[in-house]
Amino acid sequence: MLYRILGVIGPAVTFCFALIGAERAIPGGAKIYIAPMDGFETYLKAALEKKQVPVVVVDQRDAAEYELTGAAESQKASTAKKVLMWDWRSKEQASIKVTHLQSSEVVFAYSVHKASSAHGKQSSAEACAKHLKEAIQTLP
Amino acid sequence: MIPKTFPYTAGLLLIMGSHALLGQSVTPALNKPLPRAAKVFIEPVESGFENYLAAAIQKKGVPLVVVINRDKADFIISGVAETEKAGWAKMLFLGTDASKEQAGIKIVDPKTEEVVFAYAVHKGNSARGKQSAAEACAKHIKEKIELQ
Repeated sequence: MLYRILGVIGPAVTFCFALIGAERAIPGGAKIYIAPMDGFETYLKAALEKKQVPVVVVDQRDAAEYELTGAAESQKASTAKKVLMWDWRSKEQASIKVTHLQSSEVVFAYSVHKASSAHGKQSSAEACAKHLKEAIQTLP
Repeated sequence: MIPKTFPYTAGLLLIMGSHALLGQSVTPALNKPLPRAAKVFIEPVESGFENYLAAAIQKKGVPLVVVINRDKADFIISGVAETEKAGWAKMLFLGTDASKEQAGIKIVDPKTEEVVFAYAVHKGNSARGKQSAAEACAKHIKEKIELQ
């Protein structure tokens, strides 16, 4: 009897989780609006292009299904860092979140911190793009 | 025949009774549950800490749904965050340029205006800046949900 109940409940629960996952996933080809982030949005657009993230970036928020917002911070290497640590590279940190505009739910979020960024903001933007691409590909 | 100590004894019993009643009826707000899959809205925090918090909630697998519409939320997360960059002395003597991070968050039920969760974090040497502080907050929110 127990096995019969489990046999019915098990697939039903799996199906429900699959539905929840599908609802929150970002489908390939989705229209994304990138909100201004003090210039970081430009790096992000370039990174999405470079990393071939399967989304369509739109300029109008009304035309988008998803909105990408976030914050980015850059800290140039100080004299002390240059002299004491022989490191000229900047410290970068950024955080982004992608929201489904219809449901207002955050479907993807990611943070990156690079203590010594080889290419400044470009590196952190590309890290965000890489993980967004992974999320699109792995989610059902 | 009423004993002389009756007023004191009655007063004492009254106080003990009221304490017992209060103890039964009032539950501290911080002990109130934070249900799984509750919708939370993260209020903007200085320097974009709300984005790091949203990312941390996802990374740590906190069973909450983050929404960007305050009206759709069951709970509101608000807080403060502060970063202090490493000075030359820290680099010279400790050989690290890791920043000092501190943050404090609280989760409020907007219907009752009760704080159901609050947490503060301080990292003297934060390996990943704001991300570390946000992940510490997320970890403790998850603990609160799982342990209740």
